[in-house]
Amino acid sequence: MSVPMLELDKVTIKFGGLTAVCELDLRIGERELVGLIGPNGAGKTTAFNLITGVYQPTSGNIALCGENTVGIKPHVLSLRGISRTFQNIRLFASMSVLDNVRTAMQGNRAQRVSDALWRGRAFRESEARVEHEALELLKIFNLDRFAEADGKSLPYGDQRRLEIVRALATKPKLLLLDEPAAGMNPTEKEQLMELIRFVKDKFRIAVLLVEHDMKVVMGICERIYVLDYGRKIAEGTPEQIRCDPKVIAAYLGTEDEDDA
Amino acid sequence: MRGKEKIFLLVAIAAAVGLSMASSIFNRYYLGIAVDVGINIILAVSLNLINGHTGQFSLGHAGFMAVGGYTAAKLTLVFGASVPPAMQPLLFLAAILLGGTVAAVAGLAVGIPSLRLRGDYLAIVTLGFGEIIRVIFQTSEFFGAATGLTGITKMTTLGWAWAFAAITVYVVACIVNSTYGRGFIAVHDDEIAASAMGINPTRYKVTAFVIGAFFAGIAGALYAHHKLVLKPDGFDFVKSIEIVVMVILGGMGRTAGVILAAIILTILPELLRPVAEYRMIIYSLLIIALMLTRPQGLFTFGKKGAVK
Amino acid sequence: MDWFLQQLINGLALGAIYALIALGYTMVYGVLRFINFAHSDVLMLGAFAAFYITPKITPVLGPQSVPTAMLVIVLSAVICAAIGMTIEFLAYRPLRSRPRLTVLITAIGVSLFIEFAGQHEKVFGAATKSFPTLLPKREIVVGALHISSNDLVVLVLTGVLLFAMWFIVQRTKIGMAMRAVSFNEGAAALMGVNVNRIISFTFGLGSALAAIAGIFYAMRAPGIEPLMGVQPGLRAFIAAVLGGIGNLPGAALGGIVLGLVETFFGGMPGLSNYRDGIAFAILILILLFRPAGLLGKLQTEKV
Repeated sequence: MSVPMLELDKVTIKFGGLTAVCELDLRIGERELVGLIGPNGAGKTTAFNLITGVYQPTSGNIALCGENTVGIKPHVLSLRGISRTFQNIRLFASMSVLDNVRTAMQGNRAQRVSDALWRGRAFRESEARVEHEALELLKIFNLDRFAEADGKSLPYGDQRRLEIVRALATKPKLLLLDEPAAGMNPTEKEQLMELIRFVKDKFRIAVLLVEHDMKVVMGICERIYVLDYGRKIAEGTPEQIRCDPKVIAAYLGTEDEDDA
Repeated sequence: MRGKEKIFLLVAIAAAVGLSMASSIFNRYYLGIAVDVGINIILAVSLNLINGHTGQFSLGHAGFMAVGGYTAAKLTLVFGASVPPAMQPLLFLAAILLGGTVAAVAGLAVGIPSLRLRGDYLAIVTLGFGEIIRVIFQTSEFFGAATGLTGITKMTTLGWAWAFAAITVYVVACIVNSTYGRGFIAVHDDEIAASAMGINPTRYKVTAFVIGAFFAGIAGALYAHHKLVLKPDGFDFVKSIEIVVMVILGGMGRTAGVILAAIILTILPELLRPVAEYRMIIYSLLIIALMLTRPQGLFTFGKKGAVK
Repeated sequence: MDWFLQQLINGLALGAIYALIALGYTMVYGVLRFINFAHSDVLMLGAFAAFYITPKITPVLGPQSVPTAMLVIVLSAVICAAIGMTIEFLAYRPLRSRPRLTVLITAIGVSLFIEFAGQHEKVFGAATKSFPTLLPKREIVVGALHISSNDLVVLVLTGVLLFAMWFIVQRTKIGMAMRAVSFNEGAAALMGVNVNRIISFTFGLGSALAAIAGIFYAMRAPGIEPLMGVQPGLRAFIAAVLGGIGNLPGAALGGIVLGLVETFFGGMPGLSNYRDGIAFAILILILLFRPAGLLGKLQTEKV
């Protein structure tokens, strides 16, 4: 394997006395769909925040396509190709669905200030291009009919999908999804699994997925990392993880605990 | 229609200058108020960029106004006599632009440290900066200390004030109503999500402060050459609040609403002249009532950032 | 050395006043997460309450006596506590669920209202009035030091009040409720705390302290007028931020530090003009380099 898309090397982060993530090694290759699971509080979202630059590790290295990302601000990392969704949906509440996507495109430098001021041909062209691309993207996910609607007026499942569309608008190489299935019913979860597979293939990106729903994780992930109390306790294919005693113990407790 | 914004701007400026030249037919008193309205529109729209669109709660806007006003006034006081009458307008333009630029620098100085602060804290720091600026002018002999600057030449006419008001509205509206402008609103709505989507919150916040301060400085320059006397007290915290109220009344972030609010809040005190002694009391009750009943502002038509 | 000690005493007295006011700001911020801009005006109301009450009391208890002073202070404090609670009930409570900025602006409105109403002829009038002497003013001379008896009274009483505050907050049930509400309002309510009552109480307590501080301030200042609360209020707020907003010992510490710094600056030739600016400079420095304040803890946002 050549240089991995994302590599975490003994990444540790401490918040005061609490070690949220401890010596985490993680590797994601191009176009891999990798899962990150673990009981609540295991450090999964913290890992996301480390990867996206919201937190800085206390020690250890993180590299995207071989280039170090520690100390780089989140918006710069977005330009470098990392995008994400959030555990509690973070749409831009006062904007329309279309504008949410437009913003992400501006994050990717779609338009210059000077053009916006001069309002000449360059401006009209960039506006048209952005709107066209945004609508095309929304169309793929069947959200284009909501283009002018308020983002927060959408049904919950559509809001989650909008967040994914928005994240894709930054043209990422690596997409981080933070509990995208939360609050969905089984049918929606099936659709989500389809969606994630589709996104990975059509946009040719790597995906790192944090999820609690085992069916979703086992169903689509090629490889899985398991965290418990900030440490990696297992790594492997879904079959390997399913049978791993350490993983079972972390989620269900050991036999002794049952008797207590 | 192609380029409708630019056409609108040119028409507005032409109208302003035209009215100004015919101004001798108007009542001087009303003319003065009209100039005040123009200046307040500049102040309100520029603050709206910072407070309304970008969501940075700034309570020190009067400070930027002071910087612009004092700078411009000093320039014309020093050089006014040596410039021939034909060149006076040019001198005035230079003074206005200089005032705006120095105010923009002040905006940079205030904006950068304020970046990591939120809500209450940001309000207090900007208040503090506004007060520091006031104290600096109050203790500076160069700027007349507590007595301030007097004997400023009357140069602000209806044309100047309204032309710049049109320019301010144009610039702010164009910047915000664009794909680029989504960044400001994104920073306001959710800074962390904006960051994750590639929007640099720092850049947008500082840009808002600098542009807002620039136009506040211009307003200050126009103000100085309209009132002819500049005292540090005139740029205190209460003045900043007056501008903030215009932005709130107009519905934070709605340019059209803010313009309307600026007009109303400039004319209202004049209408209240018969009860002038109750003016500020009514004003403060208005603020309380507004917050209790309709905090989103009185003019909530149009989407955030939409102009007309 | 003498100059230093003289400034020290003056600075401590001023600092004590700032500390009392700062406590009010910090207590309200603790339970409501908002800065009560109108707090500075309660200070003024306390001084004016004393101004109007004193002439009514002196015929009975005698002028410039300890009983008079005590009664005036207590009555003013009670009146202002009531005023503070009323303001909370009318202007802030309806906005409990709104964004913090809305309440902030309302507070500004309330503050302006009190100030401008106070300036009206029919209320207090804008002119400066001479504050009645509550206690006989004696100057205690120790070597080259001149200590005003008023300053001593301020220092001693503030010490007592600070101790009382500490005791209330740390050792009583209602204090525990206050702390619970400041940590987590929802959880406190679930534990049976009457949040509204606690918030009212906090406002009352803070306002009472402000009123007393206002009286102390008036004792040292030449006169009182409706806008007298603005500057000390702003300084005390800065002191609260300096100590760590929401942190009670921090407020007291911040107040004393600011009082000392201001007094020393004011006493130095050449720099005295900048005395007003020094407080704001401190504010900006603190918020830039240590926004949590000297004793506070920074709250991070959960992503």
